[in-house]
Amino acid sequence: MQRDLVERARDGDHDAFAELAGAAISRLDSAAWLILRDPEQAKDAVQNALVRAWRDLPTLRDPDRFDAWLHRLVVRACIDEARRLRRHRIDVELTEIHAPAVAGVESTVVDRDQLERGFLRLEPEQRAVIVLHHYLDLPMPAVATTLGIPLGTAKSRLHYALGRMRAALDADAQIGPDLVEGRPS
Amino acid sequence: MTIDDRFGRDLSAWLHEDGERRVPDHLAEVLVHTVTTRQRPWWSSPERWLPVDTTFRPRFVTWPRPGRVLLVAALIALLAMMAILAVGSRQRLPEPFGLARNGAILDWGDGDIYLAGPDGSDPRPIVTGPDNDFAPILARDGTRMVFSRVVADHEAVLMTAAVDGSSLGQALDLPFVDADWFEWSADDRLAVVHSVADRRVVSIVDLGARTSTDLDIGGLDVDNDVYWLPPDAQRVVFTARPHQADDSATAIYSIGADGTGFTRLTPVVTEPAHYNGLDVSPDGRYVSYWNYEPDASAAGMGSHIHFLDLRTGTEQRMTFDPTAAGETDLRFSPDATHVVLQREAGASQLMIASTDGSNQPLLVGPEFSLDAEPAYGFAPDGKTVVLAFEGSKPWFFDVGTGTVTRGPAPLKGFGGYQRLAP
Repeated sequence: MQRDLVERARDGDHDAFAELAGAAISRLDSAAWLILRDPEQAKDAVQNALVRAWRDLPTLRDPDRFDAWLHRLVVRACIDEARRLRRHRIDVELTEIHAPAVAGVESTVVDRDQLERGFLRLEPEQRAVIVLHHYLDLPMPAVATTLGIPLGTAKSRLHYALGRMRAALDADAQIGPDLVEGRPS
Repeated sequence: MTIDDRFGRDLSAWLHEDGERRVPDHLAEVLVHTVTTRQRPWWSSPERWLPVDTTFRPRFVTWPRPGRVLLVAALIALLAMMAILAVGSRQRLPEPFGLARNGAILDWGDGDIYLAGPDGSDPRPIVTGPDNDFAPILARDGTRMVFSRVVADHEAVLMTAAVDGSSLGQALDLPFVDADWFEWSADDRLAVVHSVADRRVVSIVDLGARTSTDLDIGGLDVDNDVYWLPPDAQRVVFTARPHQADDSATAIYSIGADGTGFTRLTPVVTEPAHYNGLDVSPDGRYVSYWNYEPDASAAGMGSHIHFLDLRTGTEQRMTFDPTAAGETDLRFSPDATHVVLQREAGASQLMIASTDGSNQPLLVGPEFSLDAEPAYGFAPDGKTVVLAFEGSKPWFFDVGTGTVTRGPAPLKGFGGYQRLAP
C-alpha cells in the first residue's frame, strides 16, 4: 500500500504525497520537537523536510526505504534549524523546568525532570540518534541508514550521547533538585 | 535487568510521553508549499555519486630493436632517431598508478560538465545542452572521460568524450540501471556497479569492444567500494554481502576482470560495522578499511583503520592519532608516503599523516558534521590534499605544512583531477 503511494508520489501524484505526509506528520513532528525542544523550530523543520521530500522524491531509488529516507530528511532539517539557532541566538535566559507531565513517575529509576534536563544538555545531533533509537524504535543499523552515516559512527554517537546524559544526571543529583535550566531565547 | 536497560526504558518512556503531547496542525500549510514545488529529476541527486579516487594508469610502450645486419645499421639508426622524434612530439601519458602532474579539475552539476584549472579557477562548460549528463570520471591517462546520460527513469547510458568534451560518443548500446560507481582500469576497461533485477552487481565494461560483462560473485550484493588492484589492474577488490542483508555477513573479495579466481580475502564478519571505506595502496600491496570495534578507550569502542597485506594475508590495526575518538575513510597518496583520513572527535576533520607514522599528523580544514559528505583525496602530484563540498569553494592543503589555499570559485560537484605525465 505504502509502496504504491510512494511510487505514485515519485511519479508526480500530489494526492498520493498528501496521503503519505498526513500519515507521517504526527510522528515527524514529535521527533522534531524532541530533537529541537522548540515548537516553532520543530514545525519549520518538518515543513522544510516535507517540502524537500516532495521535491526530491523522484531521486529515491527504493520505495521501501521511504520511511527511513523521510526520517533522515527531518533529522537533517532539525540539525540545520539547530545550527541556524546557534548562529543567530546567543542570549540565554533562565527558565524554570516544566512540571512532570504524568503522575506516578516516582516509581521510575530516573524522573522525567532529570531526563529532560539531561536531554537538553545534548547537542541536537546527539538527541537525533537517541530519538531515532529510543523514540522511533529503529535498530542501530536503521539509525545509521537514516542518518546516512556508518553504523559504527551511529553507535559511537549514541554511546557518547547516553554517557553525556548520564553524566549530566549525576551532576544534577549532586547539586540537588531545585534547578533552573538555561535555554536559548 | 541492568542499569543500562532501566535507563533506556525510562528514556524511551519519557520520549514517548513528551513527544506524543504534540498535535501537528500544519499539514495543509505544507501541502500548499508542495503543490507549487516542482519535483527534481531522479538523476540530479549528488548524494548518489560517491567521490572516486583520482589516480590512473600506464600504457605500454614498445621500443624498436637494433637490426642484426651491419649494412642496415645506419638506416636503423636513422629510423630510430625518427621514431624518437615522433614519440617526443606525441603527448606523453602518465603511468596509471603513482605520481603524476596535476591537470584540470572536472566539475559537474545541473546536467552539464565543466573543466576548471588545477587550482579550481575558471570552470568552463565542456559538455552542455539539453541532455542530462552527470558523474564524469577521467581516465587514468588523463585524455578522456566517461559520464552518464539520462535516457529514462533510473536509466542512463555510458558516454565517452575527450577531456575537452570533444569526440563525444555513446559507449554501449544499452543503459545501466542505477549505476553509481565507476572505476577506470589501466586500459579501456571500467568496473561499474549497477542494478540487475534488484541486485547490485559489478560489471566490467570494455570500451574498445563495446561490451559489458557481469561478474559472477555467487549472488552476493556488491557495495560501492570496487577498486582495480595495481600494478597490472587485472583484478578488482570489493566488499560484498548476501542479498538484502543490510550490513551483516560482509567480507572483502577479489575477482579477475575475466571472471576467474573469485576469492574471499577476509573472514566473513556478521558484526555490521566492519570493512568500511576501502582504499588500495598504489603498489597494490595493501587494502585499507575501517571497523567500529572494541578498544581501550573510555568508551570501550571506536572506529579504527586497518591495513590488509595482500601478500601475506595479515592485517594490522593502524592508529595515526591516539587522541582521536575515531579514525575512518583513509586515502593513500599516489606515492603511498602519506594518507589522509577523517579524524572523529565530536565533529570530523581531515588529518594528513605519513603512512609509517614518522611525522606528527596535521589536522587541516574545517570541522564538518558527521553527516557531511565531503569529497577529498590527494592531487596527482601527491603534494596537495583537496577537500570539496557540493557548491562550495574547494580547499587545497599542502601535504608537508598543512598550509591552506582556497579555490577561487565554487565547484558544483568535484569530479577529480586530470592526470598528466610528470
